[in-house]
Amino acid sequence: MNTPESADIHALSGAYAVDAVDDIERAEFERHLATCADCREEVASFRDTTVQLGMLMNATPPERLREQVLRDIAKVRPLAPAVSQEAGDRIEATSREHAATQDTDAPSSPSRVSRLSDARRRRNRWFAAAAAVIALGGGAALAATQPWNSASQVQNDIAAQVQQAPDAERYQQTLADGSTVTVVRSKSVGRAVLVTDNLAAAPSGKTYQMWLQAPGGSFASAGLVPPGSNETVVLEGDAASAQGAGVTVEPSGGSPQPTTTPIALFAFA
Amino acid sequence: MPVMAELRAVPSGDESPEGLDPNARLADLLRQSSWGDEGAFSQLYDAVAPRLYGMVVRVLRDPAQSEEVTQEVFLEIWRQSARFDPDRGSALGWMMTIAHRKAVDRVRSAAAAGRRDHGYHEANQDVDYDSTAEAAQASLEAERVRKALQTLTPAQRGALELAFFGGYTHTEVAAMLDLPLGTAKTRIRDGLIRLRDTLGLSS
Repeated sequence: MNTPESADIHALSGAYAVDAVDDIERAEFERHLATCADCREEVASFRDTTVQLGMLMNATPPERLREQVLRDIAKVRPLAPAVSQEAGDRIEATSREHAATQDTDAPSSPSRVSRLSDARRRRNRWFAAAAAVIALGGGAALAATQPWNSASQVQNDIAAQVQQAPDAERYQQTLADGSTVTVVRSKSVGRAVLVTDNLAAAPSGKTYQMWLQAPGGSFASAGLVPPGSNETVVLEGDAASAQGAGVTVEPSGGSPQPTTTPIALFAFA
Repeated sequence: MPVMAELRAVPSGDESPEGLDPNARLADLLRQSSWGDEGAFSQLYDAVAPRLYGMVVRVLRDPAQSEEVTQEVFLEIWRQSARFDPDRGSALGWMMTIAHRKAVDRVRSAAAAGRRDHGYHEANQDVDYDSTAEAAQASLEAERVRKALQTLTPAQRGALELAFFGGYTHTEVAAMLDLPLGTAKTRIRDGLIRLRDTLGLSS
């Protein structure tokens, strides 16, 4: 942890705590948090601080918002702590059948054990990956030693280029479990980047595969999504001419053609 | 107008405000919500809506969009309520983190779609701290926070306000303030450290 790079990344704790980071930096910093107790503590203290800052931002919402919210929640079932995918869970129009069926196969009793294993697969998005790491050291340590995390500097550079390109286009979808999948495309860079946030693990023996849709409508594989829940990965292939992108669940190793309904599909503008 | 008191309010006077930890109450309401208790959630809404909406509107500016995003925020809180872990932080902090993140996501996707041009140039270039203060409820706590903000150097405060209230990335903040890349994130962090220490929040 004494490389200049990681010394530099400590300095990102403040920006991270106030969401002043881009997706790449967020992914990198969360990776760093997994191994840096100081930063975890610091981020938590900054979050406490921003709650105080929030004191200065009271505003009364319109009356109707209350009714809207209460009407919304009546139609949506809260997630169980133990089970990230609920068959009865319905939300936003963008949601599709999420393929992570392993969770619905699991016993539904919210036992501590299944809760932990669930959480290990799905790092808590909201309150600093930090805290998750404290509770779930094992999973986090594993994530930090995965080869795709250390050998992806080139990928990171391309991803950063795409995301910072003046012509970057962002497409985001929220899945049934509240996780999000975002595709950022830059025609000038010619590449697209997929960013997952809190994505459930693919079922055992399966993987998430990315696709680019050619102007003729056919899908070509754009590579596999690394098995983490918060990943940033560059799609293989020419994104400049593509008219869309998608993500499907495929058998490990991937498929030459999509074999399942996409969990997320993005039409490029 | 802002209703600061709501956070501290106790439903129908059946509990003594003394010794009542508002965060413990919020955590309780969250837990009940996770069981599908809509009544508990409506109490939760009443307790935090001005805080969350205030946060969102501060970042987004546009009331219609803010309403929409706040609605999403509450739906998210409802859905995720079982995932809140009191050991990891306060209930209010958890909810405000969700609200801030959603607001920031919204301004950034709007920016990516080219709809933020005016905002980028005009918005928080010169954050009027005093008008922020005016908008806040006169309360001891708010006063304390305002005082704490005044202990920051103007450079720290400018960077922190653009980032937190403006929803800009540190890279954007650096560009807006003509700072070398990397300087803005340091200022944001230094500002937060000083604010935290002034407010007496431990690291």
